[in-house]
Amino acid sequence: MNIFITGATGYIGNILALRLADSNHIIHALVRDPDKARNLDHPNIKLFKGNITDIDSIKNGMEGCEQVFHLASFARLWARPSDVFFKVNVEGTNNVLAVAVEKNVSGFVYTSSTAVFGTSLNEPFSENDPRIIGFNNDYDLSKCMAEKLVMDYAAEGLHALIVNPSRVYGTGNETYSNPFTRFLKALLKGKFIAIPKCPNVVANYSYVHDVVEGHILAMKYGRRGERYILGGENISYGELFKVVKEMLPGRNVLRIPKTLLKMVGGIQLLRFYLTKKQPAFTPSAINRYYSNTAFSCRKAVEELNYKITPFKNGMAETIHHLKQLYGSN
Amino acid sequence: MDQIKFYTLITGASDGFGKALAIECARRKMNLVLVALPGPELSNLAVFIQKNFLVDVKTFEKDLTNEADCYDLHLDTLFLDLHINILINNAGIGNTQMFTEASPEFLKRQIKLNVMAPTLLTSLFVPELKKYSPAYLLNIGSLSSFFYLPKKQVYGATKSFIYFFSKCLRHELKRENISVSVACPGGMNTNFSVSLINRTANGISRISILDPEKVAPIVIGKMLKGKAVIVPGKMNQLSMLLNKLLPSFIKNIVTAKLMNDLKSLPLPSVAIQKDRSYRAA
Repeated sequence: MNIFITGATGYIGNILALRLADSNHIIHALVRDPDKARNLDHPNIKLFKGNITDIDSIKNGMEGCEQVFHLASFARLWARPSDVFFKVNVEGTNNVLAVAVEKNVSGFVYTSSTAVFGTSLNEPFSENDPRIIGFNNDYDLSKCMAEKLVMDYAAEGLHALIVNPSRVYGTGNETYSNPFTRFLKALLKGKFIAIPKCPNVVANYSYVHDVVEGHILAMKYGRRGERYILGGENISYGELFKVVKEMLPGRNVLRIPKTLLKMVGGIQLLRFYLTKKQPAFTPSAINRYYSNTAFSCRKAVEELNYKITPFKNGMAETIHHLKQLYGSN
Repeated sequence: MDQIKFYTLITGASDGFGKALAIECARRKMNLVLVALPGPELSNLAVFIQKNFLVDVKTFEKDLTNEADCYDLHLDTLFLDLHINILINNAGIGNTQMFTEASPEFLKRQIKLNVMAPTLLTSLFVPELKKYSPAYLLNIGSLSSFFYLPKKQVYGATKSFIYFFSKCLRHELKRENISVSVACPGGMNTNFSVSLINRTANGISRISILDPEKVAPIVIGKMLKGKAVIVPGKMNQLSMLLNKLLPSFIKNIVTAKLMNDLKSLPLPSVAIQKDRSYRAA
């Protein structure tokens, strides 16, 4: 089958594209720069130069495809001017949807994020639960708006659905969406890393291979106009700290209190206004790392047959893989 | 013998600030009667609150621009024997629009929901509030009722009504042991469309924008302390203070500037075109 993928050079998209290509599908990958897309070197992957804000390039790439995986996204915590979030995540998604209707594709999976749900309270959050925090960052807002577009197209007949991966870990391209690998690599190299100092705060960690499989299952079994959380185990920072300490003994993990990190964010923001150097994060973006973001994958498990790799196994595989790649000291 | 179970009634609870108020009240262990337009959001919220907090939640799908729905709501709560000791009139329609651009139908709906509904509901529920006193009545006004902003004419006027109504009623109901408060929040990042418009604001109006989950605890806390007027946020309090101190010609310059900032929407056309899909504030 011919399958169109956006974001195939990204963290999840790359593994997905290769996995589908290995299963003898022909992949049409829309890439901004074919020369830089070396990680898509596979006889079944065809590269199409373009981007999702250029509708003609989408039309060209989607020609003859039956399915669409739309993963491309501007995934940052902050950017100025903020238009880029809306241009890429909202207008871009609208373009891909419009072309999918035109080409009469039979399946459309949009990769959103659990960021659209915000934070959870005492119990893990599920798909129908309401967002309880405001839209104080552009990424969340743009992804929510894109979801709404997908839902609108689904209501009008396109077989479109949404998957929401949580905090993804596991080896893969070291993109902005893959901080976990960066952290582990730094630890292996003997550098120190910092994690939030709030041992009881819970977050959800999904193994990248589970998420990739979840995409394929969603295309196969997902219902039109539905959302599926693709997550993993809900783990507190305290437990996370313990697991990392066990697997990588003697490494330096610093636990940073919220106020300190907020100050760092504030300094970065100040520096931006003075020097125009983009900050990595801002004070308001910090809050979510100090709030519960626990998710329930029950719907995906029940409806898609989604499988969750236990966190310890996933971490062991990841660390093993990283040691092979970079050695250990 | 069972203790009497009290309920807090919140209108416009399914979205935006109402949702934040509902969660804050649940956090404070209040049982809830949530009222909103028909749609899955209300029952989803009720399920979510019951999953996270040990409180009872009842939902009523009503269109409070209909007088009949206001009466029905009151009868429904009497019929189910729900003891309302806190009434929060939150439902309202906001907009940022030149008067000539707004349709007469929209304006009528806005006045009905922002003025008629809270007046009628207050009138209907005061007997219960009296019965179950000490009781609280919280009306949601707006900071914009203190500033004569273009594009906020009717909205600001409806909120001025709420302010005046609440302040007067406070004196009358004091002897009944009902505390009347009016909250005057500034801009908040509530739903899509409002958050988008907020992003086009600059300077003071931008930094004064708050998140509803930060505002709700302040408002509920001060309501329970019996405060007459609640203005959440330091920047908003500063605006209020400046409003009292500055001469009007300076205020006129500032408001004109603020409105100019709001005028242009440097946002993607698709977001605006597809506005049909976004629910009004």
